[in-house]
Amino acid sequence: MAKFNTGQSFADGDTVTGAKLNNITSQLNIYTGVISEQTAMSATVSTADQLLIADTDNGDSGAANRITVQKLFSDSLTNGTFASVNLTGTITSNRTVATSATITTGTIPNLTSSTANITLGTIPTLTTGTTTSTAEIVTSGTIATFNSTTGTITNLRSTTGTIGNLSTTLAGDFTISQGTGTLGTSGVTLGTYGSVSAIPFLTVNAKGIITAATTGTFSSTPADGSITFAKLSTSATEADNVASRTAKAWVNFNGTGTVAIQTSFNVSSITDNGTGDYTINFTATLADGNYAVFGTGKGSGVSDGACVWIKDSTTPTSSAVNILTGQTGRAGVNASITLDNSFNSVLIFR
Amino acid sequence: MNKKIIYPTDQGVAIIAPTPDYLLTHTIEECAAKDVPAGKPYKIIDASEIPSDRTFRKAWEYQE
Repeated sequence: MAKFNTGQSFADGDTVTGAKLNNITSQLNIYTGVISEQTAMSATVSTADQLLIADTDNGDSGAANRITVQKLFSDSLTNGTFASVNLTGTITSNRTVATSATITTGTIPNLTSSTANITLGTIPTLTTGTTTSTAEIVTSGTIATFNSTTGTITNLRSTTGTIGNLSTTLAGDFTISQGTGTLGTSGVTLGTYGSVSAIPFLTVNAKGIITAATTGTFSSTPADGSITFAKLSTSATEADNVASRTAKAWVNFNGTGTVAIQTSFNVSSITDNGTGDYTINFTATLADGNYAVFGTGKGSGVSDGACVWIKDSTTPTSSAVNILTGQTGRAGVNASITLDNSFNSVLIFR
Repeated sequence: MNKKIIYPTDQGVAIIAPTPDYLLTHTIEECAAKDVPAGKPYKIIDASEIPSDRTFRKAWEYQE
């Protein structure tokens, strides 16, 4: 049975006065029995259900006011501070954390924000991959400082954004510090190598890095023996064809007695076929027999016409040419005479 | 030794004198192999064996 507890009591035959009645109402206490003895509410409490409440902070007279459950929690959670609130269950909709709020402990299984920044603090363990989800991707926003002293960033990618002030230690020759990449030194002394009189000698490794640099003396004058015939121009244009301007073979010999060869080039031997009749054999064959032959001689006691000419009955070949020496004749005047000249010169151009 | 190569011809005998330049890098045998007409017999002889009088040069004969 519900009951009132007051400081006012009445004795038998006592007089009921207005003051005593006021004492009953002004000192009314509601005991728990008043509530516990009420019928228990079996239906689910809805936000529209109502309670009685004394609105004390507005200076009300103390009369009870009705209030909905919705308004009760909305106003008190908005305006009040609760030092310790234990919440269980799942928050199913988005929540905004005020800029002054601090999350000191707990787990945020999936933080998604298109605008929020984590500007300060430490994420002790940022786990990605198979342990908590298939992948965590920062699609936009800024990570002001990302520190990892013991962890490993297996795959750091940014397809559209910029990773600024990145410091990391890389294996190899390249370092990144505060967003600045620096290629390691190769050991080569800084400087300019090579000049008009010195040519640079550079050693380049597989990465294209110059690992050694020195210089060598450069001379505009070719070294002796460095310009060989093979290096002469053989261009078809007359202006450049140096090779065609050099003799392909030449020989100087004494034809008197046993042939005595004085000097020669590209001539392996001279065949003495008879008096004033010689074959010049080439060491290296010429392109063909269409070469130019020039010859001159000095007679041995013959005062008229110590000549050299190609033997009429022969054809020059790429390997030899048959010449005659002596005195050429004139038709109707005298016949040619072959003689052994003491000095014969034969030049071949091709 | 001053060596020469001789071989027979229709006019008698031909005498090959190798150039000093050629002999710097080749042997006289190599010279004979190159400059004696193919199929011709030849001999390498000392130059002193060749007559110095060439008056009858066409009359010289090759002897095996």
